[in-house]
Amino acid sequence: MNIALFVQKKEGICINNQKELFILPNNRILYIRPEAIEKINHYRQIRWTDTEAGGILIGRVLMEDGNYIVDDVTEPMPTDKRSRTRFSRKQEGHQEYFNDVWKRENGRCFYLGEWHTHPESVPVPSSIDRKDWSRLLNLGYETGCLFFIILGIDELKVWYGTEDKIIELKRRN
Amino acid sequence: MALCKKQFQDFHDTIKLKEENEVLSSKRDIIVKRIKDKLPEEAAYSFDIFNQGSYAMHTGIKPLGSDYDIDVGLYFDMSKDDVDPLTAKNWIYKALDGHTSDVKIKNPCVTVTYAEGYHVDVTVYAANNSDGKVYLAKGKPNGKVEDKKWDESNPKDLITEIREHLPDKDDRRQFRRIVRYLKRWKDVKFSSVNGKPTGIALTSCVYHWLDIQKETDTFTGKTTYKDLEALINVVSKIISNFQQEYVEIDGEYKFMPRLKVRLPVEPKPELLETMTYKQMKTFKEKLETLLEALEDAKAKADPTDAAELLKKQFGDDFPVPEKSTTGKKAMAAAVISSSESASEKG
Repeated sequence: MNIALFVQKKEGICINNQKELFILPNNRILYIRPEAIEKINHYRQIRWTDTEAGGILIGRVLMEDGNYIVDDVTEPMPTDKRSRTRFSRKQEGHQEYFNDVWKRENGRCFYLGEWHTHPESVPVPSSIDRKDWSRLLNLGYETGCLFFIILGIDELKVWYGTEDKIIELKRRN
Repeated sequence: MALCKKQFQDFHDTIKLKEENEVLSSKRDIIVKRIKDKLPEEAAYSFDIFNQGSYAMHTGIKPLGSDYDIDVGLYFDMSKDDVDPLTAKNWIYKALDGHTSDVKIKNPCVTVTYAEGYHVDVTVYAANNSDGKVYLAKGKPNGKVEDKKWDESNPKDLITEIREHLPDKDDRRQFRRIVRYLKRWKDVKFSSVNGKPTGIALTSCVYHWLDIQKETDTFTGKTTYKDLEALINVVSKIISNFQQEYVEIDGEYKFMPRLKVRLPVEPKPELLETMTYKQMKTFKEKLETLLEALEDAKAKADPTDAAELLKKQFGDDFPVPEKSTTGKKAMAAAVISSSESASEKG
């Protein structure tokens, strides 16, 4: 009962007090829609038994200003491997989910990156995380950049990767 | 962030009065012919006809219902000193009486209303005066004596002034769009006839106070007009032009806001003087709500969220885009890779 209250309170803080708007070095904006945030928040590793989770980011590149919007994310699929400190996402399920959205939106959607959780208050990407981000960036996705979200116990942070570098994004006030 | 450029564009295309439709222009022709045929003999002056009103100023919008109005101005070749204003209006009334079941002399014009909803306003001017000015016949039969008068009025100057406002043709287009947006907002937000600022009052506000909002890309040289910014600019200025006046309302003295705005042409009458203090207060509150919604919309990252807010202010003709239509089209569906992540040291 106490735990349930605690969880609810944490989620409340995240949704209401943090505007999920991030500013890119070229002054473009990344906006993570509340629907997507809500899905991710569900996997916050609050209990000792909670394992890492993750998925892909799906969204739009706006016509009017080139800003990025994460509309949806995938959630852990049955074949993904999850432990307290590791998450190994497979292609299965995530690709099918993406294809369905792509069809429904008539191709007006992009693979925008990855999200996963960490059982630490303020998330810091591990060397495995960074290595894998670089590998993904080298695959050459259509948008030319990718976003990487890590949800810690208290904070959600976003990194932005282009061909040559990966930087942490600041929230827009 | 959100500009809602496409949504404003579509909204403007929907509300703009492009040209008078055939029904309306044929109604105008019928009215003019009837006046010519039935004008009483005592009206021994020739007259010119011109189209006035917002359509002529290129700021016309479609009405919400079917209440289109057609404005016909008659420039009589006579001096105001030779004819009583109400006499002149009576000539027109006599010529039109019986044309529909509803023909009335109103304070500034003679109005013929059709059962279908639209109406024709005919205004009478004395256009050949020793001072070179043009005067409008005002007053109605049972109205106050002081309202029965010739009022200096220059509709042709006004049309030219508004139509040719701003030298740059694209700046001028933004000016007209902003006028049209605000006129539609007024039609949506003020339900009763009373206490509503007139279209020409709002037009004059935009004329006096709008700073054109555009941005030129330094690389491509392409200019983007930011209508949402322009609305925020002009609505803020309108609000800041309200003055507090110390007046008696329902037996007690208090400060009440009042906005004054003048017609851009001589004799530059104040256009909001007939609004009561209570109506003024409501007007100001509605403007403040509008400004807040405009600012909130601008702060939205997602144009769909922004458009939802704008629709509440500008009505159902403001389009809310399906989320997917606001995004670029991908060349191909992405091939999703697997991925590895860890919070332990790898």
